Amino acid sequence: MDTERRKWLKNTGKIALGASATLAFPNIVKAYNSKPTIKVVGTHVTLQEQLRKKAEQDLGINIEFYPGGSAEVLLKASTDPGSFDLYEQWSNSMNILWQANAIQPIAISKLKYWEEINDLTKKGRISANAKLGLGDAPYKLLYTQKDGTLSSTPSEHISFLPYVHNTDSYGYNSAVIPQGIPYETESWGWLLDEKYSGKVALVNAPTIGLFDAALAVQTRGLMDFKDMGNMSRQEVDELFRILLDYKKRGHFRGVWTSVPNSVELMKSGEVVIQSMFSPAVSALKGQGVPCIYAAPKEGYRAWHGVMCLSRESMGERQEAAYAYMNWWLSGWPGAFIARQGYYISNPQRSRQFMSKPEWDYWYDGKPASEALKGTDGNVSVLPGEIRTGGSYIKRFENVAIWNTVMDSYEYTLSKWNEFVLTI
Amino acid sequence: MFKKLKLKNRIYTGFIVVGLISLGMAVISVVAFYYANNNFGYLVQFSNKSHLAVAILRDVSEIQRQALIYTHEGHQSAANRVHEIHQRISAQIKQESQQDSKYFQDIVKHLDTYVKTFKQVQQQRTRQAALVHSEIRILASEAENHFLKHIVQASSTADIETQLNNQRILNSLLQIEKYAMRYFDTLDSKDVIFAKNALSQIQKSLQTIQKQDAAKPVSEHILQTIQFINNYEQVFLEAVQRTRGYLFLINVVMSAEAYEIIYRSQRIDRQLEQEMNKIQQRTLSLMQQVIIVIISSSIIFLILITVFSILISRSITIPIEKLTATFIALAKGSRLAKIPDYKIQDEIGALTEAAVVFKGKNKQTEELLAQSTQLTNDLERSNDELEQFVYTVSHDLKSPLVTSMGFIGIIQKLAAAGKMQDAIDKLDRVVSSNRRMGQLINDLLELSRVGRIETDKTTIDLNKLLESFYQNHLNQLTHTGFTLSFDSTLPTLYVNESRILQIFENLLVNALKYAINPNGSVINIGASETEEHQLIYFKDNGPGIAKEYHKKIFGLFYRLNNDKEGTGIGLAVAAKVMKFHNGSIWVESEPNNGATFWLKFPKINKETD
Amino acid sequence: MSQEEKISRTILLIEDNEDHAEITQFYINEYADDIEVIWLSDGKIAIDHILEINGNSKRIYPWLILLDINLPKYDGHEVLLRLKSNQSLKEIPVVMFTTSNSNQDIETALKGGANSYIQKPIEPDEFASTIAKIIDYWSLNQHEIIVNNLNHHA
Repeated sequence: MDTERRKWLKNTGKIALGASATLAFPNIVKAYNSKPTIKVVGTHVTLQEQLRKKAEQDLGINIEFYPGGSAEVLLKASTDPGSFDLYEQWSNSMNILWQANAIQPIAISKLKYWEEINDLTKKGRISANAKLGLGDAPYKLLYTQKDGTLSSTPSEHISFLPYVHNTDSYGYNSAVIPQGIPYETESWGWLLDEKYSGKVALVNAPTIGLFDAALAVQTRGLMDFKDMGNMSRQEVDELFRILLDYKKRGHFRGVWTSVPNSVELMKSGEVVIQSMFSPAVSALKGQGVPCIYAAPKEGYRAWHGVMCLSRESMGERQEAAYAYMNWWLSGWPGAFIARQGYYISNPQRSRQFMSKPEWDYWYDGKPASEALKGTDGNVSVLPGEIRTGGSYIKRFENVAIWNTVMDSYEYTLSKWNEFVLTI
Repeated sequence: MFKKLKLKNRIYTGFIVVGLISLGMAVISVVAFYYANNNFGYLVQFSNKSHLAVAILRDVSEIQRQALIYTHEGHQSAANRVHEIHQRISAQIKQESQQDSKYFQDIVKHLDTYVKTFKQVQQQRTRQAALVHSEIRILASEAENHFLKHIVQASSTADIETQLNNQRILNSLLQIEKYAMRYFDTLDSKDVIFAKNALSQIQKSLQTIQKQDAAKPVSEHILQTIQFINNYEQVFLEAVQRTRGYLFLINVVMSAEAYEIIYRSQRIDRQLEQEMNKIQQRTLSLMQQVIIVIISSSIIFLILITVFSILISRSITIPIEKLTATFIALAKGSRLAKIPDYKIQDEIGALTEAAVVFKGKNKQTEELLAQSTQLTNDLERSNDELEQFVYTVSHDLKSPLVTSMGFIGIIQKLAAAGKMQDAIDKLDRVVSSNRRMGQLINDLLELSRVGRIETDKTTIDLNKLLESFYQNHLNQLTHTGFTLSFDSTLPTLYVNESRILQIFENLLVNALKYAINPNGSVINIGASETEEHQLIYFKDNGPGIAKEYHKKIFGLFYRLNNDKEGTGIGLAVAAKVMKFHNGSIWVESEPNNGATFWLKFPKINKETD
Repeated sequence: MSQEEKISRTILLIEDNEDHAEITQFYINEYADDIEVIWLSDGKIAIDHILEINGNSKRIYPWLILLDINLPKYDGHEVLLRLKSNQSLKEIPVVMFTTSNSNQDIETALKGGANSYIQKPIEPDEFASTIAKIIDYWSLNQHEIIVNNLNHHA
């Protein structure tokens, strides 16, 4: 860390001595009582209090988290860049932010661990025989071009810091639904299985939940998509016609708007199968509900977290922001979020912060040799369990689609409204 | 069962039991009606809640509709409606549900989130409207103006290509506006991309122009145009973001909240329906049960009353009736009245005992009465006897007195007439009659001395007695020519010796006087017996006694024949002696066939008094 | 005058006590020497005599009957009843003699038809005066009626 700070001092000559002194000498930080404060806007997924405290501790700066629902966050970020320094969200909001000129390109040179970041984000494939998922695959949005567009062509600047990512699918209560075989019997189609009528939920986001539904509809043979990642208006109409039909028949319990919400739904028994995020699965398991995160044979719906730098973040705040970005890839945070089921773009560095059983289970897809605890202290993995979908590599070799903001986004909004409100 | 219960207590117990049963029934009824009332209360409550749930359902659809109208049309009235409805629902829920039902609390939470989000929507939309309707236009027109001015300025120096270029730029400007506005109408993001591309194009073109004219002083207008175009782009993008923002809010966030409210309302409604049905069922079955209970307990009650009346009558009224009958009979003096059996030691028991005593007293009274009657009879008889006795005595005693005085009168007259000898002759008559009077009086005294003689009784052998009697009267017998014989098997008697002798004495005297048989007078004494008595007979063979005189001869001073001597007291004495021996004497006789006098003695072993 | 003519009244005395009969006779004769006293001790015989005489032998026309209540065989009352129930005899006055004055005897006597009754007195003078009264009472006329009666109904 000290070398890093010295770099800063070199690079930012403008910085007043006092200020830099506070950076260089943590002791003086306290005495001066004026640390730089960075404001981070994002979702509950990455804006966790434990991370914030550790970051503050490690970096010696003030960090303010402003977590919120993704829409709220996005709106705030896209219309008021001055209100934040860093923006944490998903890759599907990249286009919007970029279009809104809310963020500034990140200099690769300032990123300490750039070389360690794997090919998933840089090239789009984690390994040679991986599928390329449909939709807004992050590699397509990574590099900023001189003409102001984003593409996969490498350059000196990137639009976002690659860090947290994961493959999502649906979760089901194995006490009610018999356990399936990953990649073979488990399928997105289960979401529309009449057996579970009345006990199915989707995540309330047209850029996410819609694709769960679309995958289910397609695998059941109810309709075909030319490009699921960019549906036409007709395709949207048809998809929603099918979904409305199901909703009217009472197939869906409803939609969930937050991770705790989804946990509650399955815990109370109101749903037995639903779109899920990984931390919800861990939480349920820790509370004794045998929730299984499926590995559908059609492939996963993947998402990539993006950490963007506000257009308005300058000076020491910018420096602090870069420090935070580098901290994320420094190993400990990666291990932390691994216990919640998330992957980090440079996993090797985080490996030393994880126990062998943990690494074996979370990254290598091996059976857990002992009970593993989640970040909430509860046991979330029982001995002998295998992570559904297998290893990190295997999972990311099977991405069907990425969370995406389609051209028909606004259209899907009103359709989604109809879907939600139909009784 | 209740051996020592007093009547009063039993009756009270009965009444208490009856009262308790009634009370129990009343309590059951009251409790049942209380429950029913409660249930109806619940029903009303539930109905109200259900009503509320339905109202909420309706209102939520309305609120969302208004929200959408506001979102698309921007009508302020719609926004006001949204808030209005929100207020109304909140107020209603607060009024109705108070503490219970988690659902209602959840609904309120969702509703609040909904409205909060809506306020954001309002914010965004207002801003967006401002941007779209004024700022963008202003900027657009400003940009156009300035560029036009530039064109005008450069028209003189510009070549045709430049002029064409400028024209193209102007057209593009207009295009951009078209695209931009189209987006806000159609919400097709392609328009945004078109607009953005167009803007980029224009910016590039303007940059080129600026560089071209590097030598010349840069047109003020071009700079302005560039400025305005940049601003325009910024504002446009902001408007787009805001649009997307509030669209997302209303279509995704708010609709999710609304749906949750709808879902919960439905659940409430369904739940309430179930609850109401359940309550209805419960109440119905409760009422049925209560009716059954009341009917059956009424029946039981009636049966109990009947049984109880029977018990009471059995245990109280019937005994009373019986006792009353008994007492009436007893009061009439009956000693045979049946006393009803009664084992319980209560008032009736006491009465029963009294009845027993009463009966006993009646018996006693009757016995006493009998005794008294007996005594009275005896007394009467005695009185009669006495009267008879006095009459007889006075009559018989008076007779010699009359004779005596009569002759004395005659003597006086004779003497007065000088017939002295005749007078003296009559003196004998006076003497004899006086003598007779003296005899009579002696015999009376003799009779009176025949009193109680139990203490003087001894066991005598009759044979020996008669033997000596015979010896004593031997002279007399031979003198009068009478033969006296007696059986050898005469019994022993427990009697007073002298008195018995007296009887035989008198019988003999009478026989000697009256039982003379010209062919030879014979007297025979013998014995006979029955189970309880000894019988001795004194038989003669004289002229007999006519039946009409069989009783009379035992009368005091009665003589069949006044010729002979004697006062006629002999048989009377005999009768009295026999009476005092608890025996009797009578005669059996027919004229010309002798007479047999029977003496009856009770047997010794019988102690009759 | 012959003895028959001289004796105009006959008193029949039915009495069982000889002494009393003698006394009665004495006083009767002492008072009225023309009265013949016929003494019978037995009541039955007496009645037979009266009636018998009607038939054959010497008839007795008693002008008065003196009857003692206490007779040994036929009771005095019996005799009285017989006399008074007989048509030819009932006109003959009967005077009852008693030694007692029990009301019962008197009643019975008078009910039985006795014309009068006297108690045998103890005082000697009284006996005489009593007899005198009786004799005086029944007049001579009575005798004729009686005789006629007797003859009529004989």
